[in-house]
Amino acid sequence: MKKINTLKSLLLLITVLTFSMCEDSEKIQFVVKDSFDIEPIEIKGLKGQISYNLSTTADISELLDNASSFVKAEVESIAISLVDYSGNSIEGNIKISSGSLTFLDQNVSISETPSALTIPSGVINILSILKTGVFPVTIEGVVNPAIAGNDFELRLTFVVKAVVE
Amino acid sequence: MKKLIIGALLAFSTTISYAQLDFGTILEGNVADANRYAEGYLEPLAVGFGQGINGGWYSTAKTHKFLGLDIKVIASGAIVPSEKESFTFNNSDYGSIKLDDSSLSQAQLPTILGSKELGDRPLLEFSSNGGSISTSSLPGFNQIIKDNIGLNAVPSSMVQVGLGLFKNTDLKVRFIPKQTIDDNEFSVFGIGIMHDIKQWIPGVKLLPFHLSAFGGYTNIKSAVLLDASNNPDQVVELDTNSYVFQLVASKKLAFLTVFGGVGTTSYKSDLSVLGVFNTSNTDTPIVDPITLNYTGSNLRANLGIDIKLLFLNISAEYAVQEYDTLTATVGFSIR
Repeated sequence: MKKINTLKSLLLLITVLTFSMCEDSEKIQFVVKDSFDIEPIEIKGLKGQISYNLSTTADISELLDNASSFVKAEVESIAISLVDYSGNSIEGNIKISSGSLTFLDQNVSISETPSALTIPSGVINILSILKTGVFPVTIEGVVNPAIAGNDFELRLTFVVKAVVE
Repeated sequence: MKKLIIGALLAFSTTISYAQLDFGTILEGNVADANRYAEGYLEPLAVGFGQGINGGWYSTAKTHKFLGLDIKVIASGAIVPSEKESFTFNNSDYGSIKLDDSSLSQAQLPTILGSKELGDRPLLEFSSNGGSISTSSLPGFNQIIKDNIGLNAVPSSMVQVGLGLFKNTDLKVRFIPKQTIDDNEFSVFGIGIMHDIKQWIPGVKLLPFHLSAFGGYTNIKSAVLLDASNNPDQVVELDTNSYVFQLVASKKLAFLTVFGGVGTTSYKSDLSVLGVFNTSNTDTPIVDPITLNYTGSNLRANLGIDIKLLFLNISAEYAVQEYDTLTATVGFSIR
């Protein structure tokens, strides 16, 4: 009986060692892709203008649970649309930036149908912005023809792709 | 193993929590999806156990004399085939889970014993109540296993006692009462019979080797508490039954015995996630969300050597089967 107990102890030791050896010292990483909307930007009194400069902020604190675990984060795409615009679309160049980071600077056609603009991957890391909990956004545009509406909204949805662990 | 299971099941919910979804929400979205995903993801673990615990029953075809005895510790590793390191995810098989890359209709995702590298884990989009979030598919843990035991295998271990009865027949018993280590419980029971058939075959019984027939059954029950402190009812249970029937031959050469066997093996593994999982969107909890059954049978051929060093018998064998299995035993034998 003593030998059986000894063997049982040895077995348990082997089992415990085997199990414990499977501990992972490295953290497991995940890519998480989520989107957030910024508050619709009300645009009034710009009818006939050929340029505009808007700014707003988005509260992204809900994305920040365990923010210290973020490894990197970048904007994957931005969807832009108009609401209650009296014309068909706004054509021209648009530049969307946050602080010193410029996400895109290109010619687009903005209408009431959201159009997703893809941001090149690996270019801009927004980790420092995410950690502040507030996402400031600046939108500058030069349009042709001139803006047709005098009271409408511009809506932006950011898709953020982050590596977390 | 506890780390693997909890890591696999909870890594998901931990990550998802970044976007205010949780495991309960995913289950609520579609319990069938969760079962389907888990079936592919956990298959190597369940099948590996079913295949691995068939090793080490014998290290010779020679039966004991009456009341002869052997006791040994058995350690096995069922090697996970490379094609079982991933499983095919088809969009059409799922309701609320889709590949994030809309240009794909199917993709290979890691199993629990596959890769953990981000590049090998396509993003999946989870939809729930009009919202959605995409996250990497679950990680595999093959590198951790390889780093620690040298190969990607499902480990198992047990104790076995063999006793010589009458007419050159051995009774073999595997038994470990329920043991608890941290939050992990397991128990083992197995029984086998080996009978010398050479004695019944005229002419053959004079040949200088041993030949026996063997049949064995092993059951391993294990349970892992997912959250012992806060949700002690949430548990992952793995109940594995395995059978093996073989013809076994051996030849003793000085202190060395070469043995081998051919026959069949079969297994039935039931894996369940039990407990009450609350959801964030309704007051209806999900109870016992995942129940999976794995069965299989295949031919089994093994070859091994047993070395006798004073009173110790040390053996090693390699079995060719669905998951090839390496087994090592240490013990002693009397009569």
